Amino acid sequence: MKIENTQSQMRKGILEYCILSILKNGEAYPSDIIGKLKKAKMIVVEGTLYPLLTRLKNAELLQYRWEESSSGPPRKYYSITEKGNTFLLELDSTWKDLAKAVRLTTKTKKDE
Amino acid sequence: MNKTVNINLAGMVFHINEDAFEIFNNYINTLKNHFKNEEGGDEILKDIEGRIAELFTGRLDKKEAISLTDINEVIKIMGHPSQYDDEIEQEKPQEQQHKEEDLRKGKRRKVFRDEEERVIGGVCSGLTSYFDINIFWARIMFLILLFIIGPGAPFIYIILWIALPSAKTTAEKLEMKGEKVNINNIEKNIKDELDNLEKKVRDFDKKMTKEVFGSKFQIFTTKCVDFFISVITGIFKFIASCFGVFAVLLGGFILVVLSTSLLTEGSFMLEVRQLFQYIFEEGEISSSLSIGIILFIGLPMVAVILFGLKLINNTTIHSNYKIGMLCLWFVSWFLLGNSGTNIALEFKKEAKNTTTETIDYNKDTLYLSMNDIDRNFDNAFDAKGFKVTPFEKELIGIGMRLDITKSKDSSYNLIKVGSSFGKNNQTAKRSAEGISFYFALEDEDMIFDDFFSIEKQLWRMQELDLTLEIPIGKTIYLDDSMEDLIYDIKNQENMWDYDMLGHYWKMEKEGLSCISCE
Repeated sequence: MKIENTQSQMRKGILEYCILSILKNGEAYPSDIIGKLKKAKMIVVEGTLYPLLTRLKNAELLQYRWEESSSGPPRKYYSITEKGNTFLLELDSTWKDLAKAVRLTTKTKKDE
Repeated sequence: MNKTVNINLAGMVFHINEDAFEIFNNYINTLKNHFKNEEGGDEILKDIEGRIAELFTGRLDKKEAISLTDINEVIKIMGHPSQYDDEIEQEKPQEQQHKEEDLRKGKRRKVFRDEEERVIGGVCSGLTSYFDINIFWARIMFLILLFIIGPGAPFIYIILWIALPSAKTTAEKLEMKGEKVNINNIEKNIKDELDNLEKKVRDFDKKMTKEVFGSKFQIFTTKCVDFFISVITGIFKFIASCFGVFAVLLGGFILVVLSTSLLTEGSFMLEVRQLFQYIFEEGEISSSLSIGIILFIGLPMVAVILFGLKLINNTTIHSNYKIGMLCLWFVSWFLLGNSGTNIALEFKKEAKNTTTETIDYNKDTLYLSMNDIDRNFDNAFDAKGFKVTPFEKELIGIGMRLDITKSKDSSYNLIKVGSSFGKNNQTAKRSAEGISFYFALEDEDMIFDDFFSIEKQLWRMQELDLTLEIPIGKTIYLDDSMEDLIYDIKNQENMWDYDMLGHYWKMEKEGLSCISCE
């Protein structure tokens, strides 16, 4: 059992949740999302994000529109769909349950 | 001076140094490879290329060509595919991927216990899910089985209860209800397997060509060996599952036969069992013997069934159960050894008891016959060397042996020598004394019983030898019914016992002489 596997598995599910959460507040293009995720130390390399975005888009949780950019190629601006919002709500409650579960199970005697 | 290459990234043209281009090209190819099987892989690649174009633009403020440093920086930012978190999914072992695929398609059913639908342990409900029959019928069938094979049914139920895992996770519940098991599906499964094999062979072919031309001969041979190993494993797995089915059926059959014959009345082992019942007075040691035998033979059979289930269904039981079974098996050794010793002790000493009965008879000719009421002792133990048999709920002796000799005086005598075994001389003697044998004297007929009785209903290998003494000058007639009774009677004609039947025999000084023979 490799610690890296466990770590990345833990991160994987949460990463999708984070992306949806970021886009809940309005549309963004990948560099914005990467910036926020990097700041939160959720991703290390940018390449991680693109497969995820495509998958979420293919699952109809996200949509995008093209926009010309002054400094480079056209950008994809992603936004959350109706379906994505419902999905996010469910993830919200799942996350709360999980957080509670983790808090309860990792609580030491001293904390009680 | 550096030569540059022109590349087009997301519709933008970049000048890139030749050495940097090599590295960059490799990187993009790695990405392409990584995403080639993924849905929307092209799109992901385009997005990434777009982002790289953006990064390049940012770095080209004061210069025009992309350098090796730039490339290395960009690759560091974007990351190598092995750093992506989706890596695990990509590298799942092939087998597991197949399994998951099957699961999604609802293929490959496994037997589980369905605890949600249980009455006792969920065995019936689990089996109904597997065979896709109504649970009502499964339970009715179980009840019918209970009546047919008696105590064996709950026994088997318990084994299944232990052996079958309960369907706990959603995946297991899906597996439990998977695709129906019928001929079509089996056919389909075989077809799938063949397709799979074909695909493997094709892949192998492709790889081989690639690798031979890549002249990586060593890798090629390794692949070769891997391939053949996988083919052989496949064949072995198939044989193993066939063997598993056989093991389960065989083990189950023996268990049913065993439990039926030892725990219930009416079976081919009944006779032995009945005789064992007569070894001890109370019968409690006989039950410990039964339990010992059941455990001694039954547990290995359970192990065989479990082994079979493991081969077919990949079912394993907790090691505690295994240890428990092993312990129980050793207990059975102890039980058997103990009963064996007890039994042996009861047969330690032999004793004889001789009684002589003088027959009040003066006439010249005595007609000897056996009480021929046509009882059928054919199945009795006589044929197997036992002289005692259970008959109509009573232990009786059979297979007496009658000899005819000369009387020392002028009277007819019947000498009865009963012999028996026992724990010690006294009990053996007492048991021998408990043997009694009767005959009837009617007019000129002496009619022997066809059995001897045993007072204390205990089997101690009792035997009875009879000797009829005839005074000199008197004549006897041997009726055909005496066939089974007479044994090695000496006569002057040296005739076999069987030939002596139906003739008159006169006792002379020298012994019996036939007076009606030719």
